Amino acid sequence: MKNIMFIGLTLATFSYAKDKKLAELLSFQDARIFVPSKGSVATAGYAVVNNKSEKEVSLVISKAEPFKAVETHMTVEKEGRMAMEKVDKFLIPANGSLELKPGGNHIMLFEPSREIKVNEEIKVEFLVDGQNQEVPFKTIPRVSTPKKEETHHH
Amino acid sequence: MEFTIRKPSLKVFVVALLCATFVSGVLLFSLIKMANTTPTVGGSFELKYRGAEWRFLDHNKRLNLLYIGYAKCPDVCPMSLSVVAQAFLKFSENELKQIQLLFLSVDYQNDKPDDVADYAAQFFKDFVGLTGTKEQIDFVVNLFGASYLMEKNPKSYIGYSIAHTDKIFFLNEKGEVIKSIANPRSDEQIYQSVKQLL
Repeated sequence: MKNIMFIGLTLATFSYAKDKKLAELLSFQDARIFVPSKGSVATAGYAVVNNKSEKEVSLVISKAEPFKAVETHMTVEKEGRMAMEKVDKFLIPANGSLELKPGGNHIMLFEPSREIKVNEEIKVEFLVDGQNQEVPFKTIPRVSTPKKEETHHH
Repeated sequence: MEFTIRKPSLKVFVVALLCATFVSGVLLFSLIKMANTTPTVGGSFELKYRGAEWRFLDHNKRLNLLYIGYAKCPDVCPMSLSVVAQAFLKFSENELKQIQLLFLSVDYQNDKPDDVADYAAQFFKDFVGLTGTKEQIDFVVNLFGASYLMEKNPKSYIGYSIAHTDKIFFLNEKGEVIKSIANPRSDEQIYQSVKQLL
């Protein structure tokens, strides 16, 4: 019995350590989600994903409360038109980064079950090479009021 | 009967030369003008605003910006409207009276007229969100040399996506295109373009 407990504890510790290690592989900078717009069911999220490891890492989105569905997409130009394509995962190169940006790769979030306000923190869950990683994304407005010095005077 | 042929005087010769030069000049000018003239793109059009008929010539301003997309687009359309809204925030009240942004949703199957109007107005209070019948939408899209393509996307939660032209068209009072800006673009670029065209 003691042996079984020992093996279980060892495996749990190993699994935790592995999760922790993988979580450290990827870091997210400037993770943000636009506050969903009235009249639309979808919004988008962006960030810079850095991979500090020596191997390519896959990133799959799995969940983000309170959104009903989440997906990874890429915007591409096709025959003079901008089109979106769903992708199953993003690949982050070894010792490299991937920028999720407007008009490029991004995460999509559909139909929040409640109103989302500016400056909330949405916890987005990813699978990093199959291991869970939760990343906080800040909600930001689509249009920000310019500061006084930014306005043009006439 | 006797005919005398007189030699043309120098005066007649100079006048003839001037006439020939003038006619050649006019012809040359016309040819150059024809070669440089591009066909006018755009014009008036009719759509729907909150379900009611909406005619461009009844609502036109001195300068009209037009963007063609759809409200459920989460990436390209909102970014474009944000950039224009950010530019509009820099204009004076007087300038804002002379300009407007028209957002046309081509998603006649899923975007309800009120949703499109509300959606556009969130970016800037005076943005006009328009939609219409498929025939009205196709007419406008063709009028401005734009295009869109609805594609089923069963793998995605909303089940479809729409590929569309990503340009901001600048229209004069008649609805004719006087400039267009494709991506990438900035609010400063929009601001400067509007200032030049006003």
